[in-house]
Amino acid sequence: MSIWLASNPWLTSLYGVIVLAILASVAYFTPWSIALFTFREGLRKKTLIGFLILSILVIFGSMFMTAMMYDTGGTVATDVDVKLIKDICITAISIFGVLIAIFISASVVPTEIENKVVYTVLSKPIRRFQYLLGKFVGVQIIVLVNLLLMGVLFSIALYVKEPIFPRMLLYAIFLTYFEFLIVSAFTFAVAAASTSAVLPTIAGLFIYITGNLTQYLESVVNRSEVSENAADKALGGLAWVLRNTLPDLQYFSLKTQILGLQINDTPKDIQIPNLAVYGILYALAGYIIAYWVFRRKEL
Amino acid sequence: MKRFPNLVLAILVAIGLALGALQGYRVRNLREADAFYRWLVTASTQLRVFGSITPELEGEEAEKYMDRDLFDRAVAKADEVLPDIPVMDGDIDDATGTPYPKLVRYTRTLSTGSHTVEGESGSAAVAANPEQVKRDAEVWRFARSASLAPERADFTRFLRDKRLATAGAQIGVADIYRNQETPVSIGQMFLGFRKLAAGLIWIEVDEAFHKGEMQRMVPLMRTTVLLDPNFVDAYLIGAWHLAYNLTAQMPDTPGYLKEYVPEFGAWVGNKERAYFAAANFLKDGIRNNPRDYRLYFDLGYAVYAEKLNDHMNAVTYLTEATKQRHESWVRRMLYHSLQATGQFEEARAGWEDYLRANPGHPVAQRMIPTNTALMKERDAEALDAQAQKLLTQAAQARADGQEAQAAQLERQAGELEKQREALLDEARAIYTDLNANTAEGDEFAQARLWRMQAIELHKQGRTLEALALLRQARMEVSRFFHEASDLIIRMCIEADLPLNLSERKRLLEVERMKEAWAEKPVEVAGRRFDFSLAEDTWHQAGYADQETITLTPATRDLAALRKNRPVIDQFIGLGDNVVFELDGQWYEFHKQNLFGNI
Repeated sequence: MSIWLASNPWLTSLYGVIVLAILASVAYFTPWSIALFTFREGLRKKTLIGFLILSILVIFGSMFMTAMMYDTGGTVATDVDVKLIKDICITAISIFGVLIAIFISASVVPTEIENKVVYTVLSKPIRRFQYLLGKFVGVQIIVLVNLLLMGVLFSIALYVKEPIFPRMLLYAIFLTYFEFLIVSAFTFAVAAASTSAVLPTIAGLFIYITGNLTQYLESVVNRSEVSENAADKALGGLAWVLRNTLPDLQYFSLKTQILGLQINDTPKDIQIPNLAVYGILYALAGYIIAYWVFRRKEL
Repeated sequence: MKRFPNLVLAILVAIGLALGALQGYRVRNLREADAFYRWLVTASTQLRVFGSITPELEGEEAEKYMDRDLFDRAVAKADEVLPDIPVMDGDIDDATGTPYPKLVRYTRTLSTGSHTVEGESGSAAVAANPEQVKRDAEVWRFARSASLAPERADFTRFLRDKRLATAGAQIGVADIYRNQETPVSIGQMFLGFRKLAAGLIWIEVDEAFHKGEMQRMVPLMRTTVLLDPNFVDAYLIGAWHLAYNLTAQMPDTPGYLKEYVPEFGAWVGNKERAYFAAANFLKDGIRNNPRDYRLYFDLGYAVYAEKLNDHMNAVTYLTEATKQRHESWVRRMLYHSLQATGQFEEARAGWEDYLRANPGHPVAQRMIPTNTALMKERDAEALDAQAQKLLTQAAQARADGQEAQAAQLERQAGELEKQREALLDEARAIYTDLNANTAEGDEFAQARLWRMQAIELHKQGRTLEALALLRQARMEVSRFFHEASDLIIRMCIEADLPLNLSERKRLLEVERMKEAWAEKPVEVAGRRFDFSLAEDTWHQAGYADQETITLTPATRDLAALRKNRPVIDQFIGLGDNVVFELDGQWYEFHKQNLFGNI
């Protein structure tokens, strides 16, 4: 059964159909005017511009960090500086990118509630789920534009050091986006329930951190397996459910691995699309929760 | 939806989470398959390079670790499932003379020779061998196939329970730290940024190096590669720090103060400990990055050849480096090490191949005749040994009154002597040509000419002239210094001439070392070895004039034996001459074979 679930080609096709259906629904139902308005509003936010400038500073600063490192002068050339630039840049993109995703996801809906713009919009012939979808898609456009901008700068920084087209960087950026998509969707869900941006922002950071730590639950499960205590067993059962239900953002660490791809690495053509599907499905769950909360909100 | 909106939405959320969880399960399965694939590649490489996928384990450890069992199961499945591939050059196990299992052959890197031409460097622009890509994809399909599901499940379980000795840090972020005594991954504490953490710690290593704080460097280096096991440069530079910078200020430990360490198969002082620490660091790197030629190259050349003067091991690792995609200099260093072990035929064949790939290469053009001349010198030495033996027999026959037989033996010895002279003349002619045709003269050829001339003078009883020649020669050709010095000492002893202070000191040190050896037997792999001062040989306890097979670093048998039974490295590491038993057969190992004698 387990291997059937893991590698059945029919199930893979079914997933493909589901993802296509989701994307088609998003394209069909999204009020693009709201999405574009959200995007334009987002660009005006000083916090986001601040994060973007900081990330640019770090990306180009990485070139100077390695400049003073000792040159071994040995017979074997080393690529330590290129490796450090890659690691620093992908980390900067991840940190500042997720901060941008969290701040924008946490603020779009509460700000409109605070400004009372939401009342005007919802008085138009538009359904709540569409309004939320427009906002969510707008957030994603902002995240994507920021990510692409940082990616281009990263490519330039890398190209200066190593004049080879950084193909793997595209895959890394692609994967990073789906990590952000999950964080963004669940932060958006919290924001839909909130009237201020503070709580969803904190929740977003919490989601990001816990999403990276869900593998801890596996050790709880492992330890409960060797225990005879009923309470431990129950705790292990709960940990198992949480481990298998909560998204695990560590899966996206593949992005750092493919940046420094080794000759002994496995082909990544299967893992990357699977991770993309993983991101889309959790984002769908996050969006449905957001709508569930938002539809009952008294506005 | 209109009647039960909450219920419908709750169901939709549950479906979304369930689909996500199921996809998470599929991703996890892929990650486990990825880890399993890496382990298969690593274990196959270890089998091929080190002769075994795990160290020789005994007692509880042997029962605990499941590497061999699991690998054997995977190999058996691979034989059934993977499509057949032809047995190619390099696919034969030297130890058994049979092809490696199919899985091992699949995971071996296919090399098309040097991936750069002379003068170029950088591997980034070089595409992988298309056949290699195909084979990797096949193994990757195999690693995640349903047929290998039980092995994959066992692998994950064994990894979790720390029952895989070969599963190093390459397996995965979370799994790395399960090998440590921590219940959870410290990698997770970096929220996925462990590679950056590794890079930042590496900057600390660099700073510590500049400050001369060597003691801080080693733990920091280890932490770096623990966080990022694919940081190959950290292994390379770290090993360089250990083998070169750490030992630069250390005095040499006199031979009589060195301690025999079976784990290293060598007599070690402080410097040697650092060299072996560097070797182990690089081997750890190989375990984590089994297809990076730089690790094999540095292990073979920078550590074994340059620092430990162990060209036998250098050949092993440099050969492996040439099987990966490599830079052109790797092959050149391999041929130099082959020459140093006395494998002149292999070295010459290699240089000829190299010259075909790089027409007009000056080093290859020089090394082909050099190895030819060395072969002639070696053959001449062998003929000389035979002639001397015949002359001894002739003297014995004459003493026994068998004049006719003595005369015949002397005639035979004379014939051999003539052949020897002819070979030496040919070698001399080659060296003279080399020396004359090289712009600034060929140092090595000149040193060989002087050596041959000195030995001839010594044979003619003109030892003082021979000594004068050697004393001048060792000053002019630095790489000839040690060999010339040893020759001087031997000639002085044979001719009963006084030694100078440094020569007496050198001799005294060797004598003290041998006396120390003679006083203390050594236990190696459960066997006792005694050093015989009279025979200048280590004997395994129980040896009493049994028939032996002679092994030298140049013999192919030794290479096969070493690969089959790594414990032999521990025996032959005892000294230049060692007599040992293996599976009922006695062997006699001589490190200084022909060129150590005059």
